[in-house]
Amino acid sequence: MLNDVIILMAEDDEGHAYLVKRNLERSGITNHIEHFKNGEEILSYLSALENDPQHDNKSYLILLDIRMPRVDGIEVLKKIKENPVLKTIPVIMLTTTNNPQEIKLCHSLGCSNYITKPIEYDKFVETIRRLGLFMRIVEIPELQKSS
Amino acid sequence: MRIKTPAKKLILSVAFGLCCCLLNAILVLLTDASITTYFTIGLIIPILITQQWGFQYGLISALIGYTTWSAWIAPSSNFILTILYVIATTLWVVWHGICASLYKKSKRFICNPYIAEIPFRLFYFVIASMSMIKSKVFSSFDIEFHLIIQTLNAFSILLSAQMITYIPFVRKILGLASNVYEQHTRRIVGFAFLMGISFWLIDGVFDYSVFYRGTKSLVELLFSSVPPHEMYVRTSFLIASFAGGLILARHVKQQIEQEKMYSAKINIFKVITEKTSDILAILDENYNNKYITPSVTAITGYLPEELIGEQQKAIIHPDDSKTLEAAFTEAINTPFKTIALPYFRIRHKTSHQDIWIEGNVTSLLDEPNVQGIIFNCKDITAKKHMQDNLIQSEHKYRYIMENISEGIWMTDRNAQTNYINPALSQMLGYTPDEMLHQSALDFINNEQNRTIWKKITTKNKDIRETYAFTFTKKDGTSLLTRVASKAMYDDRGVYIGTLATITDLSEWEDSQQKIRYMAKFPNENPNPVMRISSKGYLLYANESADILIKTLHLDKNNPLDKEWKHYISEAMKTMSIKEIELQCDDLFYLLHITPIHKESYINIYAFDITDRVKARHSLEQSERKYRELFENTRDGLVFTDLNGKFTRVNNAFELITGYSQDELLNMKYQDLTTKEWQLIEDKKIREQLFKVGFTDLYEKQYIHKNGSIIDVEVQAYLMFDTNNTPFAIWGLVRNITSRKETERALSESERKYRELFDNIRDGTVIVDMAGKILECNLEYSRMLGYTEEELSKITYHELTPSNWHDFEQNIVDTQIIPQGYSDLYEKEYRKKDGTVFPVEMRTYLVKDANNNPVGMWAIVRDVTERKNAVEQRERLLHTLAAKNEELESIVYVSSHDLRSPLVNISGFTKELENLIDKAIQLLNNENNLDDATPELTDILKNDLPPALHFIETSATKMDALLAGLTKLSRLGQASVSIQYIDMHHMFNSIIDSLRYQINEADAKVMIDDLPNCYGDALQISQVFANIVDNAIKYRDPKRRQVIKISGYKKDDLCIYRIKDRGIGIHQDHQRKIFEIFHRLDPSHVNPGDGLGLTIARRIIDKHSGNIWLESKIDEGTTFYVALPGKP
Repeated sequence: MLNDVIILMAEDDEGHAYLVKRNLERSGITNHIEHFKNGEEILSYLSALENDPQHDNKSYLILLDIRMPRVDGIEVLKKIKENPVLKTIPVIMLTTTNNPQEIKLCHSLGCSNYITKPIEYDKFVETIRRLGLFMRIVEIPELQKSS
Repeated sequence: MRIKTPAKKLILSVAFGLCCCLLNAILVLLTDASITTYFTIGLIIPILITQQWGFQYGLISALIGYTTWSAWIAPSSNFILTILYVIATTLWVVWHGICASLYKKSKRFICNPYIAEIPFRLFYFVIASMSMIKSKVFSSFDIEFHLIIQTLNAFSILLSAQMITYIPFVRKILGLASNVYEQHTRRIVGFAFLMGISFWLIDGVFDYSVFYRGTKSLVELLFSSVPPHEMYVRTSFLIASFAGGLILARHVKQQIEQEKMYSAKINIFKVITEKTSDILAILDENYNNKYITPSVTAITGYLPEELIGEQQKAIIHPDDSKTLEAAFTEAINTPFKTIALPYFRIRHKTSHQDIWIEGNVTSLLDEPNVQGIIFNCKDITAKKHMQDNLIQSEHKYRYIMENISEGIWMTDRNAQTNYINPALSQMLGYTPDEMLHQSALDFINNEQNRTIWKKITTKNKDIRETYAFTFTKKDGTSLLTRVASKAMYDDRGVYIGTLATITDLSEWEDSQQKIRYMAKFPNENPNPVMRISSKGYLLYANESADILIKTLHLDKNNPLDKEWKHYISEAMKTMSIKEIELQCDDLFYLLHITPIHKESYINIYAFDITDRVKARHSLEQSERKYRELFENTRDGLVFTDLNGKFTRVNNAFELITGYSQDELLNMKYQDLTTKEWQLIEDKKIREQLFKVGFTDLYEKQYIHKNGSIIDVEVQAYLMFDTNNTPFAIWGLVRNITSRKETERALSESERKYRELFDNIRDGTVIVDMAGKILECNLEYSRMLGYTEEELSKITYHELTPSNWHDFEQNIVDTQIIPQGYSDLYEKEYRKKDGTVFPVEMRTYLVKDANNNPVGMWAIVRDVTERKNAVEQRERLLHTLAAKNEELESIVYVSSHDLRSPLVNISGFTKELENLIDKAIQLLNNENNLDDATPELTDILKNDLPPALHFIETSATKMDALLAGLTKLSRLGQASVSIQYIDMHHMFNSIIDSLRYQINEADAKVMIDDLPNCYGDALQISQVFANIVDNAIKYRDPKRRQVIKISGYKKDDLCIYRIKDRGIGIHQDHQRKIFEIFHRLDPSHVNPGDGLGLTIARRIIDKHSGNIWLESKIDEGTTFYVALPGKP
């Protein structure tokens, strides 16, 4: 993965955010990680981005928790995929629920990957490591201004 | 029509004037034309313009037209004359302008230009002759001649002007509507004009070559200088042919209009005939089809083309053609009269089935427009079949009714007589016509009898009763009868009348009367009484006896003849009354020869028995008939002795029982009777037969020889010998097994339906077409709370709330009447106490024999309970769905909210382990502790505390969540104690308890008047406290929070409204806020446990209430809570 890819992480739990960041770093992801505490924050960031997609020539990848206050992850995913500019951004759902219906819903809405946070830490670490690997191979398109 | 603007009209008028001017100029230059010619040419167009546009335009045109004349001619002529002409012409144009505009408006004949011209001419005649004579320009002859010419000229100008309007080009220029009939008119008027002009030319040429040879040139004779009398002749002809043309054109126009009207009418009739379902044919005098409607195909299968020119007879059934021919002949002989045809048959082309036709025929051979026989008929096959069946069964019943000796009296439901049989009319002496449609009560004088009769015609369906009853006969005498009556009901159990069987008991009455008469004094006795001596001499006779005396040739000297003497001596010897019948002329007398004890004479009491004898004679006749019938009748006839032993039976009885006569003669009727009927029959014989001499018609069962059970109908009569001692029984037996079976099946189903009618949980009601309730069952009256009697006085409309009237009428109109029944539909009824309740019903149409709707009946089911159940079920489903949602949300929480802290705990524990491993490694690997110190310090100071912090917060979070869940589950177990809540009081205490927060937030709380409700005070208080608390918590920092609390009642609910001016809740979140552990903003300064509204909703649900909200971001939120207003 190119180094000028910015990872946008929406996660209401500080602890989770810390652990994810930490483990991504350990698996070799050195990209800048922007942390948002709820859906509303990430959406306002994205809407600024939408208005000027190429201001820093960066590409983006989004990690989304689902259950967040104000605006939840599914809502955020929906908004991103409905937006002609933002829809190319890969979105990875990273959440504690493993409700199959929710997984299906997220996939149908167009998420790139759906990862359940395991409670056992070893697994958690492993999952995040794999996420890191996934991020390395995933192709991140640059944002195009909608014509 | 192109309307010309005034400006255009003006320009055109000037242009026309100039044209005339030019034309005149040419004429003046070329010829020596007369004044009249100028005027004629110069005034045609102006007068036309005047008539069409008004005189102002015409005058302009006319005046310009004069100019030429004035300029060229006037100077050389008399100036006064010129002025006179100008004035006269101007007046003329104005006059016609006025008349034309009047004519246009009123169409009055008098304003017609030709008529209008007459007064003008008279006026002109007076003025002109006066002024001309004064001016002495002309001689008086000239003046008269001039005036005549002028008059002719004026008319020709008018005619020419009208004629010109027929030219389309002129119409276009003048902007007139195109004339529909102009083609015809143009041709005719054009032709008339041509005729006039040709005459003019021919006359001119003739004049040139004969009369004025050499004096004038041809042109002069033709146009410019026509001699006056020639001018007169020619103009007259021209006018005449114009006038003729115009009249003709007018006539043609009317003709065309009329033709159009007729053709429209013909079209209408044509469509009607072609679309009719009846067959309509026109035949010529040989009965060949000239025209036949297409409907013939649908009925007979023939195409109209196949039948045209064919004999109408060809398709008629050969058996019927003769009778038809007779009707046709009759029709031809009586033209214009419609002759009804007897029913006849037509063979269908393909199916060869007979189609019954009803029709009529009218000869319109003499009617010039038709010249044929109108044959109009209709397919009545279905009707005919039905009629045949009806006639058959009617015949059957009529035969029975007319031939029994008992009187039959049938009344309809209004006690009006609708049938009596001949036996009854004979009994009472009235003709059937006198009795029909009269109330039976009219034939009963006695008030007591009336009461009995009313009892007889009771509607009680199960009782068949017998009464002794005295009728008053037509001749005033009374008639003792036995009356058995039975109420009749139709298939649906509606009372339709009463059937009474009347038996004449007058013979018995007669003998009673005889005794009474004999006890009277002879001279008072209306019957003949005579006393005769033993020798046969008349001793005494009363007045009435005259006729007997005459017959017996009795007088003082002449004794009775030998035969009579023998009777007398016999009577005296035996001392018993001897009865002898005597015929006097056409009267019959019964003579009682009565011996008087110890006297030498006898009394003869005579009774007029003419009627009886006559009746007996007819009886004897019919007796012979009956004897024949006895053997041949289908009914069994039996004679038994008083013990029941058969003495004689007829063939029919043998057939019924299967035994031969010989076998039967050794049996008793009891042997044939089934056990269970023996007792019943014994009772009948005992109580009826031996008491009154007959039984009523009763049913019993026989055992056939082959062992099967036969149902029979029996009526038994006692036979008396001359001593009035019963000696035998005779009976009429009819096999009714098949009828009985049908009846059994019928009564089974009838019983079933009757039981249904009364016992089913559905109401049943019968109404007439106006909706009046005729009958209903118990359930119907029960469900509505009215008694049956009350219901019989009202209509179903009155039972239906008015908002259902249109709906139900629509069902009646669109379903019940067209298809005979309705689909199942729901409506509401209002009970007597005013409660409205839902019903489900299906209605059927009741028709009479003529297929006319006479009423409706309906099955009605009270669906209140079902509706309630449905509502309850829906409510339950709703609660279940809500519960499910709640449960799901709890599961969701356990999979996320509980998991979330666990991830942290296990994660940071592992992190701690890692840190500890790292520290141990540092301590082990580094020999020099000092080198390791900075790193260890870093771990202890920077890495350990956050990890521990995270573990701790996670644990706290889990604890809080678990506590919340416990709280919620406890709420589920808590019981609700419903009590009356003073809401004002409750809100005041809530505000008090939140006083600190309210003050701190500087919020304002306003409480309106509130309705009081029912609920668990503690729990309800918790709900409102939570809502108010939320309002304070989520206030908008930019403005002061104002909380308004109000409430109102709606139906049985109290609705409370808590309105704030807080931050508002986004549309997307409005549903979520009731979810468990949902918090709008966890980072808020006063975070709650995310349970408040979840609990509130649970409480409200438990109270069968409702909670919802309306909110707008930045404007505020209004919470609504609905709670029951009744316990």
